[in-house]
Amino acid sequence: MRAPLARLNARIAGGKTRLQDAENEIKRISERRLAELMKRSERVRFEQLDDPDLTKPDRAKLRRSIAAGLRHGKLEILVFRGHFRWRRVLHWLRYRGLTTVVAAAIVVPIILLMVIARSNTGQVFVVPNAVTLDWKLPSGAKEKTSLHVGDRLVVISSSGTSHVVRRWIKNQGYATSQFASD
Amino acid sequence: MSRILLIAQEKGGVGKTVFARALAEAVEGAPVIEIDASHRMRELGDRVQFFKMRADREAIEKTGGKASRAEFDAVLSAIEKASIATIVDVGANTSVTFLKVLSDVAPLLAGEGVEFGVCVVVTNEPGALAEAPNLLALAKPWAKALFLIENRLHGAVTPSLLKKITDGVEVSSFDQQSLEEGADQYLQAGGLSNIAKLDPAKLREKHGIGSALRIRKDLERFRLEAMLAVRPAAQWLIA
Repeated sequence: MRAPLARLNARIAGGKTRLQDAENEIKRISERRLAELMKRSERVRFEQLDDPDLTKPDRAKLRRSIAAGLRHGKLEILVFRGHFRWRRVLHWLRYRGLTTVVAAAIVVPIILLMVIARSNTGQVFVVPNAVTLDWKLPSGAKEKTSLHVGDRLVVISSSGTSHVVRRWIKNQGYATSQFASD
Repeated sequence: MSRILLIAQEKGGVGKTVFARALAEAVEGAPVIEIDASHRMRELGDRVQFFKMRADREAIEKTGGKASRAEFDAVLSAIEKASIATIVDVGANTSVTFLKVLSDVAPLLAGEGVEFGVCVVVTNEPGALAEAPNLLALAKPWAKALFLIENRLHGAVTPSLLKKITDGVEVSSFDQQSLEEGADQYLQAGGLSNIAKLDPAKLREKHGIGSALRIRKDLERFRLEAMLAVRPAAQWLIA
């Protein structure tokens, strides 16, 4: 190797060594700082998470030490506080359950009303042939009525070709009758 | 025989002087010719010969071609006299004109044993990207070696574009360096050569222990990365 090239390589190797030394010094300071912090309370460690003297790996170690402490804290609650589950349920209700209950209180009656409305809504049936029906009036009396082609009836329920129909009588209520279609 | 390595880019702010300084660091004792509007590499002391150029293109062109070229007479004399490997930092707004002048002179100097290498610095900016192929094309007929340093100060240049402009050119890259607050003032004040001379005690006193260590580390990394970026050109220069 010629001397100038050897000198060039030595300059670059020297630069690498100097950088390595600087990085080692930073690691040393960081390790010392981490050791100091590990002796302190979780709160102090938490406050020092962004300490600029800590390297990234040491900051991760500090974070893990705090996390480990938190996990330990949870276990204590589970073991020693009998009302933990009840608190948890209350917490859930407070932040999520309450919303669900309120939503259910609104949605369930609406659905019920829709079901009732649907079950009480008849279908219109157009009479195809002239027919005479026996109507049961709201008072309990019976009445015969002739229907003509094109008259409209409201079907309440059907079973095969047999239909229960109704009509509104002013100031009295609904009259019902049976009707058989072909 | 002497080798002359020119660091060139018509656009300013791409890091030409950083790489000229890195070459001066890598090639110990190599003389430096600085062609610029202001003398920046003062930290190199007697190693530098400074030639003042007018600051902007308008001022250069105002006097016409001949007069603007006459500005380089003293520079050419200095190059002619160079007996060992020499670094030339060609300032912004000067590179194109100077390379055109060298196109005429280089064949004559080649007869006297002078070889030229040209190292173009490029960043991911339209101005620098447009000038880079132009400068390389100007140098190709007479330069013995062509280099391109991709300074990723503004991100990496698209690889396909880089490939397109660097046929027959040795390419190296310099990643964007993040510096601890306060580090840049040492770079501006003393370039790369003073990094090794920084007093750790004074640094700690001024910045505190943690910050001082990080400043030192960042500066050392900057110096090393810059030397690695110029390594191919430096190897040619001293070969």
